[in-house]
Amino acid sequence: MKGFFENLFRQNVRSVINTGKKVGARAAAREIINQEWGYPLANHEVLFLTNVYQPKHMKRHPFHIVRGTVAPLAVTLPLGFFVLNYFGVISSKLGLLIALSSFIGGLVIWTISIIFDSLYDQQHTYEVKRGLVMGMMMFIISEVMFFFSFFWSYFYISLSPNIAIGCVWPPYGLTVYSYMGLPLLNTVLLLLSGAILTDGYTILTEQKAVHEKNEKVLAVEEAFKNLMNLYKTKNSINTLTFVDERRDKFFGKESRQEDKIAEQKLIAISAGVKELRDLDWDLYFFENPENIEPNYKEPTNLSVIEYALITIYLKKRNKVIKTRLYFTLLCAVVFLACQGYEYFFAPFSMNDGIYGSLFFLLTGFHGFHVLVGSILIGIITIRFIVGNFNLLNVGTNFQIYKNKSTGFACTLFYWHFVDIVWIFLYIVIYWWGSR
Amino acid sequence: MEGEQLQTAPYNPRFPQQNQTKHCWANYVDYYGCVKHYNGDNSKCQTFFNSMNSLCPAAWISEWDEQKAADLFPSDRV
Repeated sequence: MKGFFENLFRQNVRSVINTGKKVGARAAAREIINQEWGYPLANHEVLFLTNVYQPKHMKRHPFHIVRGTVAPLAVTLPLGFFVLNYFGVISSKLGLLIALSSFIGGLVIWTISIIFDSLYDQQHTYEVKRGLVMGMMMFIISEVMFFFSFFWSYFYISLSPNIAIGCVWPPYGLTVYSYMGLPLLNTVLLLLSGAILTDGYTILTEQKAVHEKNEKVLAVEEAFKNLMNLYKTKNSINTLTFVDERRDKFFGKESRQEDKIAEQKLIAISAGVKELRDLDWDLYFFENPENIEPNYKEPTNLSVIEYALITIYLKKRNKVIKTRLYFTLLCAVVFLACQGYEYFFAPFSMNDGIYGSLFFLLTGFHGFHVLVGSILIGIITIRFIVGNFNLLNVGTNFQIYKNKSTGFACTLFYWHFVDIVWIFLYIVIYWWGSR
Repeated sequence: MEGEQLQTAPYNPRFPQQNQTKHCWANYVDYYGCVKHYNGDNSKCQTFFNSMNSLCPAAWISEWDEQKAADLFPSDRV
């Protein structure tokens, strides 16, 4: 399908070049299918192609008209089933198993379809991303309220302790955790992981360079940034002179005599970035049809050295960001393991008094949120490895609405929310609430 | 009947609310703490005893006495 829309798009470009104006999407579709498939399309088929599948450049508005999908039902119906099962209206183990698999499968399908809407259909425009980020913020605010209610119950109970627990907090005779042991390690783990993830995000969105005091690397970075600016401002005609200057810095002046050998070596390196280039640069212009001009020139005439510079830079950058993602995941897993250890060896239990109830309610829900955050970080790690956040997709500024890193940004917000809740938990339960 | 003075627990600013549960509990703890302090001599602890008896339901006192006997009462002071 993607190839079809590219052709459709190119047909439009051709039309702009030849006649100076765009043909309508439907006319273009008709034309292409006539040419390529050899038979004309019926009206309703054209309507289906142009209305149901709506690439960005074929719409007259920036919003995403979502397609019909079974995912929301597959997620919410099992939720209803869980409730009925909990109250004993329905009790069937097979039904529960089916509901659970439908719930998880629906979530997976929903996530993947949103990612595909963004990557292949190019539906995530500025406005759509703003809506997504706003939705995430609303969700986080609702989560804050959720935790606020539990903190309220904690303070209600602990500020004026009942006579049954000896009018003291923590309850008389109960052994509770010291704030200096595992909880402190957990605090360090969560805060460190948040900082590291933020660092990865700043590198991803190019707010921060990949640091290394190496002239070659700095030269490559600078060259790359300049190249990006040149391509993004569409003044790519004189890149070759610019690359010559960079080449001197990068390989030394004596290498000029060995240009041919160097270029042959670099052709090999550039092969690695070719796939990336084919995907990304097409997508860039595919995504920004307003950049198309009558003298539109496909950006395929990069020099070999430019490819090499980009390859080296991208490899280093990917490695650095990947390290940060892995480290964050590791921190999350160790945190969960520590919490599991603490739960397993707890001197109180959930049903032996008010302290245990509140402790497990608060830390348990927080632990569940850490688990969800870890899953989100896992998703963005996979997306990063697969290449969803490639450089041209991501953009070069901290503009969450203008780049393709919205998923990363939302995960980051969520992770920081989990961090902050933990800080309150640590201060209130482990520190203030201990002896 | 004429000579008998009826007296309830005096006002205590630590417990200004209508709910006097904790006031009762504090008097129970104070009474037995006082007895413990004077090595079983309860003659100086009558204020606490009177307040306790006028504030606390009898069932609570007997329950707490049982807890105290079984060493389960949630306080160090009794």
